[in-house]
Amino acid sequence: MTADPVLTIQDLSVSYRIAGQRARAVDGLNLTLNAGERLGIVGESGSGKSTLALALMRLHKPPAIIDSGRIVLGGTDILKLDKSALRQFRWSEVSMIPQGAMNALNPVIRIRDQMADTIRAHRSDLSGKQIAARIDELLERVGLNRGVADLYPHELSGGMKQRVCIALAIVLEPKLIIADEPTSALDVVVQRVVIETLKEVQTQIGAAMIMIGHDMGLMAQSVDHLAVMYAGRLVDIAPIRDFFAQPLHPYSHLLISSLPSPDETRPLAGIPGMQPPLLDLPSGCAFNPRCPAVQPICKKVAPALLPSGLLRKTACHVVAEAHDVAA
Amino acid sequence: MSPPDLLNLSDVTVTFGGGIGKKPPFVALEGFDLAIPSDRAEIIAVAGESGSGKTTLGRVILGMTKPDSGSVTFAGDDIWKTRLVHSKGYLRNVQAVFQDPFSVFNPFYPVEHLLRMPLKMFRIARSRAEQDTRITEALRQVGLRPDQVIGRYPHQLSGGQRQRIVVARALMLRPKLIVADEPVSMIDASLRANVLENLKALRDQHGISILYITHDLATARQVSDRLYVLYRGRAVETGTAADVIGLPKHPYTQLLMSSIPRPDPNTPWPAEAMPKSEIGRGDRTACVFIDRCPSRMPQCALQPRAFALENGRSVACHLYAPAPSTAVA
Amino acid sequence: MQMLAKFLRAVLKALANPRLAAGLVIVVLLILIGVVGPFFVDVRNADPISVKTNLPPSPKHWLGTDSGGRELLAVIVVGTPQTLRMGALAGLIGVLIGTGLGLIAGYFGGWLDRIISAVTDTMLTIPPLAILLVVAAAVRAINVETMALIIASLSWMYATRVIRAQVLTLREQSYVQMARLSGMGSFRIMFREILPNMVPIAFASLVGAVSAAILSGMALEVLGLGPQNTPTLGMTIYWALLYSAFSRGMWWWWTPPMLILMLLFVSLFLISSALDDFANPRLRSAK
Repeated sequence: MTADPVLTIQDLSVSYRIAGQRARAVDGLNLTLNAGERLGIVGESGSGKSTLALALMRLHKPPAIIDSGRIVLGGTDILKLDKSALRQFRWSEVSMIPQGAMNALNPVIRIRDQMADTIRAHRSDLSGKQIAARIDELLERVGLNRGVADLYPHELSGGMKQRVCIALAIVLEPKLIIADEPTSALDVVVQRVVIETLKEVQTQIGAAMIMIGHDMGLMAQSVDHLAVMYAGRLVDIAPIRDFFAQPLHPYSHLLISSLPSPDETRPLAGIPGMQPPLLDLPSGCAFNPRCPAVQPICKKVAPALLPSGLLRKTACHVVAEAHDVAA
Repeated sequence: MSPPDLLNLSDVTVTFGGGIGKKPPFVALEGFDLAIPSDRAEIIAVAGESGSGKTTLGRVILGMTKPDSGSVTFAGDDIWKTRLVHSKGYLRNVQAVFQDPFSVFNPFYPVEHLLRMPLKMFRIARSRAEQDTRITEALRQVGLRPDQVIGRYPHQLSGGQRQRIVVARALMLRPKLIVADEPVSMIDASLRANVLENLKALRDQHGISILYITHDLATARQVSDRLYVLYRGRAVETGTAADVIGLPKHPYTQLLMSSIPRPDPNTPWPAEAMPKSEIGRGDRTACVFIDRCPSRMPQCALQPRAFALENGRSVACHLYAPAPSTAVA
Repeated sequence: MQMLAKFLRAVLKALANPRLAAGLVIVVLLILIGVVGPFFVDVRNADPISVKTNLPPSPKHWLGTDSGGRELLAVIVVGTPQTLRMGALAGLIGVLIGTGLGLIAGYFGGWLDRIISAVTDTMLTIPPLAILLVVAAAVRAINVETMALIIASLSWMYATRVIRAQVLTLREQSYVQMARLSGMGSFRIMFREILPNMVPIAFASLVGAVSAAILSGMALEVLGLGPQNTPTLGMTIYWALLYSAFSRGMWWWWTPPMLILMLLFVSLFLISSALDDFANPRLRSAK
């Protein structure tokens, strides 16, 4: 019944080599994603989530280097592709809406021409008419008026620009869309329109989606599964409802309790301390200095990502022990 | 006779641009009224999206943007007409916390330079030793360890730490009013609580009033006493934070509240509240929200004034206009 | 003293850049010619009619002699530091004026900016070489310092524009707002908050100004309008031209000064190219 997963990441490690030192931005990551699924990845700045996003499309630049692992997308191992195959692969199999994408639109070229450029770059076989038709179709899909194609980026609002970026991302109907903070700098009302557009479009083309962000509230409304990254490692992953109903990893728990809710006044709780610098990680579990549930073993041994429930995995000694007891 | 308000804005309007042969003027703030009393410390939230005028408001109070009309008084004295706004006396009493916790630090100096400067300029502490004492004290009060902060450069600290240093600076100077412009929006969610708790402590323990400018209604609810909702330069709704957020009356406030993603997968965005068009572009004779309002009425072609309701609430919407037979306040 | 330590640390880090290191090494060597040379060579031989004329290089006169009776090795030892001094002086004065004006124009804006910008832009339209020729020809007794001053007075505009542009950007930074809110006055802000962050650009301007100054100076000297009594590199070339050294095959006369000048320009280019790297956004730090 289950088809092959769209994305399989095995033991991925990406590090930054700076001045002879190596900072592990992504450390031994394992992940699978099926068609149509929406995965959210949250983490503080420096947790490695953006590095992961770039590495998935091999868009990372030195000093970031993929040390090891496999990334299999739609049956192809991305890390084995040569440059020209990679260029073909990008955008047709996996596309990205990078952070600040709306600011990356060329300010002196009309929307129509930018979209046509992208289409032509991958589908040189299409005629001018076909391209124009496709542009109209794409704009309609993201809820924009056809007239938008004749405008320049500065004539559009932030939300409209971001929807153009979504249209650009689905031009070739990829199997996976990666959205890195797609609504940062957008107001809350516009944010909703953009996210709903993204979800709709993704469902229509049957793609899987990875959304990277730090807004837990937004994640709750946008994704099916949520993964938490801390200091380069995946520490918790669960279906979204289970995640919020019962966060297992102490860090996940703190993340949720630090969320202000507009509907009630609660004393605000933050997470004390700061994420450790990647070059100076504590021994054992990277979270142990800040963890309210820390045990002696946490300072010595880094916990492995182990099953902690139905479709759940958590990297925490305390959780693993409780799960064993329950099992 | 009660003492004059700490800060009082009356019918303040700020317009940018315009002039012969140029683009039509952009009205950043229009007919804005605000009063911060002097007998008690309050946190007043001014909430709105970008383009609402909230940043302009902060700039008017801090002396960076001159209003085109209306009066801005501090303890009874008009600060713009008398150029008081640029005087050391005023600056001593009004301080700021800005949005970007990185660019407030001069990258050339270690972070404590930000605290040492005003001590020197305002002649609060002349000797280096005395400055050091005050600096360490202030840092401790916001929960930072002085030995981990002093001597470091901005890029060596986290956003949360840097913003706390900025709050420490405000604390150290004991101003009467702090203008906090989006103080936590560029900080990781988990680090925000500390900064916000610091702000509350400033009000509770030191009697400092704070103007909290934000786009995030959830945090506005957490920290503020009163709330002003801005849209396209006008205050569309004001009242206590709990009232306005708990029971929003203006259609715009309602739209805002329903667009906030709740951190609960079982509470999705309400389907019927999908906004229609993106930006209001109408001219300003009509209500500023007319393009996007689901409750449009014929009388909305005329800009509504703020109608006062019970409990200090006011809403600028014809839906709440008193019945024509009653005398208008 | 914290400043000094910070400066030294920056210098050491800078030296890691191969271009900067190479450029600095060459400059230092050129300076050494003037510093160390006098211990090995009798500098009086740089004066006219000191030695036999027109001699090709030999063990006695390593670089030979010219038609005026000067020993060329001595000329190089004496002339190089003069050229360097002229360039450094002209560059420094020009950049100092330019930085001052740029700071004021950029920070204050308004009518002050309009006046300074108008003057700057007007001066930029004037062909500097033409003015230099006129002024140099008019001033009878010209020496290195005067030449430096004249050149500086026609090159300060470039620094002004660069600095002004940078100040316009830095002025909007939040830390400048903070400084104002801390009660700092305008001049204090300009010199204590803005200026320190402009050191890299000011320095790059300086290197460019020095190069330009040496080139302008060379232009004047080669046309014979330089200091007549000082054997600067440019004057040496002028005399070589005057005495038809090229057609007489006296390569030892014009080759050394040209070589030194080339080395100087190469080193200045390397330095400014390395400084460009500093100005550009660096490698993204690990995130």
